[in-house]
Amino acid sequence: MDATVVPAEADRKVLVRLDAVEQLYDRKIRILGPIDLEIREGEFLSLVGPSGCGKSTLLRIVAGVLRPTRGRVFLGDRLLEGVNRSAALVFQSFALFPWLTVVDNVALGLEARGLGVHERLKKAEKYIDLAGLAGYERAYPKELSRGMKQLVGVARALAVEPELLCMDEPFSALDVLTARTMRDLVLDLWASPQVLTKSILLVTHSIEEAVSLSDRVVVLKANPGRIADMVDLTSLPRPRRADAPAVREVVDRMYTLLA
Amino acid sequence: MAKDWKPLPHAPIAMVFGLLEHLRDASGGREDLYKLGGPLGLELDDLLPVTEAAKQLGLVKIASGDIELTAEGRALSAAEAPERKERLRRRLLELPILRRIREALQEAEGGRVRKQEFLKRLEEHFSPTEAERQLGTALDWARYGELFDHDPDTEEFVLAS
Repeated sequence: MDATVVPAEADRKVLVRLDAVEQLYDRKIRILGPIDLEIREGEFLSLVGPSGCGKSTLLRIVAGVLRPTRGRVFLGDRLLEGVNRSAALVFQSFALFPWLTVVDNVALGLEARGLGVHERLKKAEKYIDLAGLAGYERAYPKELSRGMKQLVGVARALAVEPELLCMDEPFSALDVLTARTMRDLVLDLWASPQVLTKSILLVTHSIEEAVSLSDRVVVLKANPGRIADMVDLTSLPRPRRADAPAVREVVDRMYTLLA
Repeated sequence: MAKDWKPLPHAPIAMVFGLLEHLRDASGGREDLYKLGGPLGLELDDLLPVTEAAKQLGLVKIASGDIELTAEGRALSAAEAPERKERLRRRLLELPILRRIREALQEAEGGRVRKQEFLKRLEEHFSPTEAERQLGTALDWARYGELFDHDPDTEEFVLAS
């Protein structure tokens, strides 16, 4: 099925556009695509599907760390070549530097963006505060719980003030209770006027998670990875309780589609 | 063991918040304890420190197989970030280990005491390994409440400003 434009959001600015993107293995076996997809300004978009559906591959293509075998990626109307500088990444594995404190881990990405020392620290402090990490500035990663480590990863990504935050299974290494806290926090950050990043791309294998968070959910099937459905949830108010009838209905529909 | 050194359960704060949120969604702010195990997929070793932490902080009550939010637990979980932090900070100061470390730092010159001093005190009540863990958890929680911090250069605990 082709990607269809959701009318309610169609007038929003397009941040990233994938045009007939394909990923081939060994130049002959198709593992993904062709995919057409738009990520719009201000939206929380999730890619959900089973292992092998290519959701992480898609995220890496959007972030510009993986070049698709075929097809094109546009930032606005500009063709993306190389790394996408308007996106920042959060990984499942946290990817923190163990020999750096929390504040230095968060400030790290800012150095690469050419900011001076004073400016770097100010920005790092701001996002540490917003992520609820005040008090942990001088802690080392090994002293932090898994949830706190992931918060540092989120603060580090947001500190460079990217237009798009790309998160690859950010909560799947966490226990259910911690994951719940983290999901609430990410929604708070996304809604906060102090956070400049207004668009989020989330990759998850949890349908419930995608439905509880997103404006739009792209459901992917495997072998080869392709879009099975695109669901607009903008009319579903947050917070969304898992047992709310409207939520249950959407979740059931997605399971049925994938089963 | 002296009551003053009641051991801290080794639970991450973020997990305690997750528990409060979960209970807030449950009807009447109450849930069967067993439902936090099997159905939520939490092993006992993960679950028990969290329920114990929430209990010691006065945020939940546990009775006859049920776990229930207290009034404070309800208020804390419903509060916005700054108020939530302030409320938890007050609760943390009710815990003997945290309170004693904080008091020692308040009395010390420059608000600094060598970590080794606290370790020695704790080793009168716990094994060396457990004393180290107790101090680690105390530091983790204290950082959340901005009560005190650890300076790795001098190996000192420092009063948070």
